Amino acid sequence: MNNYTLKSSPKTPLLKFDAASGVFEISGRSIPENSIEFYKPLLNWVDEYVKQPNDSTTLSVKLEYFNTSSSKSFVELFRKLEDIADQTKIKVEWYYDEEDEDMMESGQDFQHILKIPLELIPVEE
Amino acid sequence: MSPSNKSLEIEEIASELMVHKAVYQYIGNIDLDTTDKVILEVDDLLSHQNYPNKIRKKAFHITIEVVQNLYKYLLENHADPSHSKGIFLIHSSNDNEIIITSGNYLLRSEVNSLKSRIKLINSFTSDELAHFYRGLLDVGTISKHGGAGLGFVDIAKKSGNKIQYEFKEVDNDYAFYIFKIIISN
Repeated sequence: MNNYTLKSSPKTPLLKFDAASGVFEISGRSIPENSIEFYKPLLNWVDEYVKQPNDSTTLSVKLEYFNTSSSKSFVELFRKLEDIADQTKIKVEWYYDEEDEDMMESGQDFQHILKIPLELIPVEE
Repeated sequence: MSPSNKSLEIEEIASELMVHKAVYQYIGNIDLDTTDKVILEVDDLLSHQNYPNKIRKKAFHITIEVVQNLYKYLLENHADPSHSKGIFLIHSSNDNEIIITSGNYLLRSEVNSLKSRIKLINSFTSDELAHFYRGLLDVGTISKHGGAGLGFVDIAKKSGNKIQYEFKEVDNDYAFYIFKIIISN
């Protein structure tokens, strides 16, 4: 299947989802007014990926800011990945600026509600 | 009451809120373009001030939620043009405190439910707030315009302070809702 790639914009993140390697990345800012509209094509792509996932799937999230609207889309994305946890070695890497406690807490919030491993990775600015 | 009177009224409310000079102010129509404009201008403003990183990040984060809340509320409630204006202000007397204020017209029939929601959020300790937020994140539904009801909770959680609010009477149908949050070091 094709990869899903979308360039970043001032309000939307870079989306780089490589089907062959199972390496996915979301980075930058995710603050669109309507996250449903923005993430719908990606979630449709993930629906196809989960039918035949790679042996390992790693999603790296490297966000500077995200709005609450985006957080619900992330949950939807994570849930889709949870569904294939028995078919692929799955991991979410949550990168955050080591000084940004809010971003760390956001990672912890997702950790609490997810059934797949989410690793918190502090990054020096 | 004519739309022009309404416009004057929002200016009057704004001037009451600006007894102290605002470091940023937007008073006018809230649509997609102005939402973008305010967010980008505030980002630029905050990056050129001497606020500690922590406060700057929180203030920008809260700005995004507040401005997008205003926009989504007006979009979902099909406010007529005379009621689609809003206020967004930033006050700061020193580098360790930023105060964000917003204002918008609201149907009077919605005042009580909004008041109850804010009172509930304000009644929580920070641990309870974090727990409540996680619950909403886990099971909350998304409205057709992408809101998840998480905005207020997120703002209270990030600011670490209680939400301040006031409802002013406008006419038989509308009230004016003023929302204020303090972000401090």
